[in-house]
Amino acid sequence: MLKIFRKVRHNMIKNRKVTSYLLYAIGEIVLVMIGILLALQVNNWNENRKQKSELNNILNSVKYDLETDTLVASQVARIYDTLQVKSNLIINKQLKKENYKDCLACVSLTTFYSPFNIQTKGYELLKTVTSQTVSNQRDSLITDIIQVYDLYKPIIVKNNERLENEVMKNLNELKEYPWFVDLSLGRFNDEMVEYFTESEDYRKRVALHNMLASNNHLAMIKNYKAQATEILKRIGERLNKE
Amino acid sequence: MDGFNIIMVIAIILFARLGVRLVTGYIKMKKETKEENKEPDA
Repeated sequence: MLKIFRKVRHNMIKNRKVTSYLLYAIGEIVLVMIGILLALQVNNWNENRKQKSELNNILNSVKYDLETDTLVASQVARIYDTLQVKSNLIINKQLKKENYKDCLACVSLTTFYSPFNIQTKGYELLKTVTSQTVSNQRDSLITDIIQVYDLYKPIIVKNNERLENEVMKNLNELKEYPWFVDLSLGRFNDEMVEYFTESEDYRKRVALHNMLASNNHLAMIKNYKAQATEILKRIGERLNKE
Repeated sequence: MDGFNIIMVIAIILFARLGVRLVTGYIKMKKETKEENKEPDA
């Protein structure tokens, strides 16, 4: 009888020990899981911090590009504004043989262009980052920057090409005139002055050049400048906030 | 070393520690049971 009681007591002690060991094991496993979750959390936080810092560097780069672009755009716009005023003199037949000296630059209206090239270093970096991370695509500032570049870059490049082709075509055609060498040396003669002030051909060329340069190119440059200024303001606000 | 590797290292360390603690705990439990089994005979 005593032997049975002893056996029961031993079994009870043994069961209690196994239960407490299992509880201890579960506790240890839970601790490990908590440890891994914490490590993941810290890692995520660190990754986000690194991503944010990288994004800020890129935004600084975009800011620098846009600042350069707005400066250059202002200069180019000023040049084309002047060109437009002079082109209007020819188009409206206000320049005559007698007063051609009032606008000596009017002879080079169709052979002049000022290319405007957008700086895209920051934009390229931004595109790489947004293609790697999905979260940035929800950022309205970044989406707007990419949209502005995507919209204006090809148009401005195309306008530059058009103007360049037009200017080269004009130069090649002017080359055929006997007074071309005099023109290149800045010497004026009657035939040349007559062509630039009274010929319908030159008037049409000026009108076309004006259309491409002032109506298209200049308008796009001004629009781009306005958008760039707006984005610069937003980037400034974002960088100051962080 | 990228993020994934750091997490792997931490996980390996934690699991190794878990293994050691479980094994030592088990050995301790066995030892205590053995000692308690001996006690009534003494």
